[in-house]
Amino acid sequence: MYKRIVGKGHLPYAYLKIKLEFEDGALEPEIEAAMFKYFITQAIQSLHGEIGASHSVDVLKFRKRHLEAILRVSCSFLSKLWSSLTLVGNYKGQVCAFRVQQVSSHLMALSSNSRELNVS
Amino acid sequence: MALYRELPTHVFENTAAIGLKSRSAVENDFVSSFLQRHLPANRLRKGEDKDLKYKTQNLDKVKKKKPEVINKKRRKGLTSRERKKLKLFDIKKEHQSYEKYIPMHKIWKDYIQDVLNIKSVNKDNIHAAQERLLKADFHGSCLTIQRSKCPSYVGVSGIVLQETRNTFKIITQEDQVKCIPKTNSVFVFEIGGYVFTLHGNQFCVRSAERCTRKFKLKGTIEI
Amino acid sequence: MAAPIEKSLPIGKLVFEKSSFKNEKSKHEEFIEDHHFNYAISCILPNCKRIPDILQSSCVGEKSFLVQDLPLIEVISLDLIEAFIKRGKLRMLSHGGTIDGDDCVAVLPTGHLILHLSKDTYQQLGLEGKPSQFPKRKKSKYIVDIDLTSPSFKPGKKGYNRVKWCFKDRLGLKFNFIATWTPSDNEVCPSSLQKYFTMKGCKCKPVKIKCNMKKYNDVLVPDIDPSQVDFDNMDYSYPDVFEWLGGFSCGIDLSCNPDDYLSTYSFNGPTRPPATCSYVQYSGYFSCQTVQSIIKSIRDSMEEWKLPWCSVTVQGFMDSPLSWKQREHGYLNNGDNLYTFIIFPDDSYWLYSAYGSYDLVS
Repeated sequence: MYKRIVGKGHLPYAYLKIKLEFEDGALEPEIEAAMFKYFITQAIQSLHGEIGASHSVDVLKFRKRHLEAILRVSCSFLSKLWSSLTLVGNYKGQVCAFRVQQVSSHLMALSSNSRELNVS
Repeated sequence: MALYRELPTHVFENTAAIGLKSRSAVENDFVSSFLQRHLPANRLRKGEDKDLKYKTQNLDKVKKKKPEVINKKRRKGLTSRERKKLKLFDIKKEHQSYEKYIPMHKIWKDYIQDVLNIKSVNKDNIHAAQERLLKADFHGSCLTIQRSKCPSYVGVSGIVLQETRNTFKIITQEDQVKCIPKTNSVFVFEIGGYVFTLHGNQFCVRSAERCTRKFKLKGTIEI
Repeated sequence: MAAPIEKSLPIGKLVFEKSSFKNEKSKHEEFIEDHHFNYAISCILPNCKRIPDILQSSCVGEKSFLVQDLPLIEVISLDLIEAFIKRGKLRMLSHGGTIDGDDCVAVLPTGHLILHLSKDTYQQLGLEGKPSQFPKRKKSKYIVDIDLTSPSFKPGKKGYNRVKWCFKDRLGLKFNFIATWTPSDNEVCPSSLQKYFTMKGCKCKPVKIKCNMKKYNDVLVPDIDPSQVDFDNMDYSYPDVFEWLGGFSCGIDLSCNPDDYLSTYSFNGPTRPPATCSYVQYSGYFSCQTVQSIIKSIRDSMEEWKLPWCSVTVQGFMDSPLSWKQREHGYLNNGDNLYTFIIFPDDSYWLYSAYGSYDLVS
């Protein structure tokens, strides 16, 4: 009846909640989900080359209005994706930056952020 | 060739009656008994008298060692180790009272104010005052431990009775003598409206050596 | 591409448990009670068009509040210990500081005061503690544990005086606390703690409960079979279900095709016919009792609501110095400490507990 399984080693996936930010006051371009994914793939390719770009990065969710997304990658690829995102500097000539808001190996953890608790 | 002449026959015939030892016995023992008498003790201990084939030994010109005369006049006082053994550094129980040392603290206060010239210290020459402070004597100062790697030292405060290279010996207001290592602690004291901070890690020098020592201007203050 | 780094810490750990509420040895109540600081409660209700009122009332009625700038000296005052800590379950957590950079404080219902201090504060405060286990070998955080209910912790005793002096004269440590109190005596109102702090001159504010309700139509909900013992011969395993639940909570469209350009996610297991599915998330600060009562009310009305299953997720504070019991908690990439109950109509349950990398798993 009772059963307990403790996961060993790395969990298969890592999830990231990211946001693409543009300079204050700049007109944000409209980006479609497919464009967004292409942009990320480009970023990985410029840092890690073809082999890096061939790694699959899933865009699970994309909110067009806020330019927020939830990505899924295999755990071993997390640092490579993260480094590529960090080095992104512009989108079609416009200055921009990726903010990694939350990283977790549980998708459930991204559904809330306790650091956002605002009492006052 | 024999070493000695043969005994006369009449003696030789009566050897047993007289009680003489046989000749060969005397000859064999002679060398070993001679060595026993004349070889130095340490060589005897090594067993050199048994096997002399490869060793040389001067049989004449053997000097006898003079007994050592200890030169007592060279050092006047006791060595520091001897002093420690005699417990000269320890403060006796009946002398461990904070009040007894308050006059010492007062004298020190006058002294440090003199050294620092505290009344003329201002923003511009505070650096020079700090330099002078480094070379000052701290016996009699009232130190407080402001932070330390070991939390139980924090907050201990008292008059410095003795300073060694690595420690301060402090008497607290509760009349306890405490030995506090300078390393990994930060000390604080107050004179004339200024609060000075001593970083113990940079202060691990004997007080006598400190006045001639050059300090680094910027050491790490992390402990 | 660089060679993979070996021996890196996993960024998360997952523990799966399966049991039944009816099982006498089931430890679900202790498990909930041991998770002290609950930030958010979320429920997934398949085949349900409306959030039942009972959930709404028990979550929104939570009596947690924030005490602003409470000096630590007040926490060790005898009045508080005698009147509140010993007569109920007091849970307080400092709010606003991050666990990896700032000082964090927690008061546990066992009467322990846990100070999670940065090196700077620890060296100046003067209370004995031990270095935190995370990060390993780099002693940058220290943990001081004070037992407030210990019989020797009284004014006049040496230990008490030292603690009092450290809090009062050394560093006037002040924190914003979020607090809940569950009295062991039912006739006492939980809000009397708030009154006590107001009397002491601290500003108190109720913690606002945020509510996020969503309704999705035509969702293909996984058909979970609780009687399954092993996952060896099945299309899906327990992590897949957990991923689905997580995806649903984040509002991800889960029906996408595995050949899609954007995402290759798909759920392999069997699904139920499309139906309306409700999701609700309350965030704020909840006492363990609220969680208990929610789980109980869901269990009681499972049949009435005709749910195939129902999930309740409780997320802890990332910046809490402990996760479960007195197990240390830290922050690296994330400070996850959350658990999910999947409750089935036959009173059996699946329990997932998820940890971050700086967490001890029992």
